[in-house]
Amino acid sequence: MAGIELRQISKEFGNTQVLREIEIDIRRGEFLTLVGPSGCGKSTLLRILAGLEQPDRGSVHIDGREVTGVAPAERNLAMVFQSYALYPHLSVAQNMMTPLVLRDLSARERWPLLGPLISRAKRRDIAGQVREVAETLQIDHLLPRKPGQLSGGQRQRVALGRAMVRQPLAFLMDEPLSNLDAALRVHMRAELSQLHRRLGTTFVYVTHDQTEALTMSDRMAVMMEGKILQIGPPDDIYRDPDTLEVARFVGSPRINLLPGEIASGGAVTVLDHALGFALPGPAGPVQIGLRPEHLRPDPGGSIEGCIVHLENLGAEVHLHLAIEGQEEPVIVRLAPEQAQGLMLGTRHAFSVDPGRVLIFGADGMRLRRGAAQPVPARELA
Amino acid sequence: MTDTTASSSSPVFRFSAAETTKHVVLIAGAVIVLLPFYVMISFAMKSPAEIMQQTGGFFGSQAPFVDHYCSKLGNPESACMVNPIAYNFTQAFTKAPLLRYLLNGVIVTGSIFVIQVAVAVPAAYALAKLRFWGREAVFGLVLFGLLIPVHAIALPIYVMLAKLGLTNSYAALIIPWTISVFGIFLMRQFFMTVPDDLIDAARMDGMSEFSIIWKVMLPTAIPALLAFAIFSVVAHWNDYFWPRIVITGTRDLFTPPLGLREFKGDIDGNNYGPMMASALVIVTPLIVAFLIAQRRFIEGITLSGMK
Repeated sequence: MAGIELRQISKEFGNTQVLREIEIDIRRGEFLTLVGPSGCGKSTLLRILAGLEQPDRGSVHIDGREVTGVAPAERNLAMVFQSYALYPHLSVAQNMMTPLVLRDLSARERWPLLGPLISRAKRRDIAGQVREVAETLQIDHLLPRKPGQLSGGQRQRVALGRAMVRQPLAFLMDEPLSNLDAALRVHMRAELSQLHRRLGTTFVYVTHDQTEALTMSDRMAVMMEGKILQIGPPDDIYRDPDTLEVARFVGSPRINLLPGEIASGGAVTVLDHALGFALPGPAGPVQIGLRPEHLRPDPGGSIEGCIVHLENLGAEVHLHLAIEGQEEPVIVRLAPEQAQGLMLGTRHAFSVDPGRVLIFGADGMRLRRGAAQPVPARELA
Repeated sequence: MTDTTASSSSPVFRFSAAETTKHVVLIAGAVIVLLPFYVMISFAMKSPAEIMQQTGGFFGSQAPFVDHYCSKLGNPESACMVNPIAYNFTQAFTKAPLLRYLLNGVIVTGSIFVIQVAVAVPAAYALAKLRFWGREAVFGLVLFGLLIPVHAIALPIYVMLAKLGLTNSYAALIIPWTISVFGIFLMRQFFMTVPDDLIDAARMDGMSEFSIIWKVMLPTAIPALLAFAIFSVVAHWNDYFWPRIVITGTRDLFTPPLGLREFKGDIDGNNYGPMMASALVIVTPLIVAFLIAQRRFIEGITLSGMK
């Protein structure tokens, strides 16, 4: 288990700044997800952590040791790649043995023909470890096969197995589930979480899928344009985003944004309806963020519009509400019993729970309601 | 319904001018390409008289004839009766040291190929997968190298080898071909298709860059390598031009195509039978190798996007 620290990491490719002064403390044994839209620099950050890429500025520390210039293999990290990156000409067993053979055998013991003769005991030991890991992952029956003969899910497991055999200080995963079909992805999500709990090793997981980040991580770091916008437990990020960008990125269906205003007295209005509370600070236009599940049908509610689309997902219903003067429909998530009687094409009003409203200033920063709601310390080290 | 089933079960052959023209052109092309082979195989089986008088068809009559060289040595004619095929092939192997030439061919083409691979694979890996200053310029030079015909630089190379005292040696046959820009180009194109993740995975596993080249890149590039092997081996096995220039004295260093000259312009006139027999011996290994490797060879060319 390792505590990993990234200090002031910056990276440029040509004239594009990919990473700007990234600071993260990854705790021992935690499952940290780096999440963000494609091109936000999350994969580059992971590659810098792995040693596959060098930062232009900043340093990487693992267990208190600076490893910025250390070769990837000597950091004792294991990486699982999106394309699995299995050696196509080697069998599953050989694929899984490779990291151990390279780490545990001397150059002479790796000689072809002669090497296996002088390192029999060690090789037996390695084969034993491979078999053990294969049994844990239930891929022991696949050991003699070549990667080309495996399905996507099986390859995924083999890649995981190849990472596990070396018992690394941390697992680095670069979108490992994105090549799987939807059902398998949900299944592997649970399996990876269980694996993390069982191994107790640090996991650093990169994804662009906010669902994966929300469901699997102990903490998630939302990245955009080379910066970490917010880092914290998934629940905090969802409930209490620091910026408009984070609020928009996390959550599906996405958060509803409506124009609002802070009047000179501090009273907050949405679509010219008072929300019933006040905010200190300068008056002016703001954006009001409403999660779809925080709207309730209420004939006297402040949000009124025409239902233009209904999605029945069985356990819940998503309503798309067209509101005059708004380009984007407001999405409302209701339980099926709440949605009874709401017909397509009819007008309905919804009320807002004032305690759940998220207010963002013109600069996109969150405006919080004073002491009533404690401001969580930003967990940027 | 009945119409379509009828036409699909017994296709109607209709005369089509376009199809016919296509096939006539293709057949003409095939005849032009195959005719020399036909002549070669036929001559290798016929007696000198049949070759001169153009009789005997494809196989010849296979009637024993008198070996004049044998009878001139004072042997009775009955002892000098030979079968044409046996005569042609024994002459091929005895009049010139054909086995020695074949061995030279193997040594030269084998060394050239091995060194070409040793140079081209790391170079192609660097050009395809490593980021370094001037990479595009170097690749530009490789492409430029592809444009230069060997004959244009044959003289300077010959002069250099002569000054180094290397003419009439295996080195003279091998050294000028050791760096193949075509090989670099072909392998580079193939390596471009290998995902970067695979190389990163190897680095995470602790492989050095050279291990990556030989243990990861090379095994994945076998089809491309095979395609290159055929290009390289065929070109240098059949090369007449370069050995003719640098091998001037010693017959011991002759490659198979040079060996063919042994049968040309003798006092007895051209001895076509043995000459074609040795030609047949020389081309057979290549044809066999190609037939064996045919599928992977085409795979290698198509994979590298050079259809």
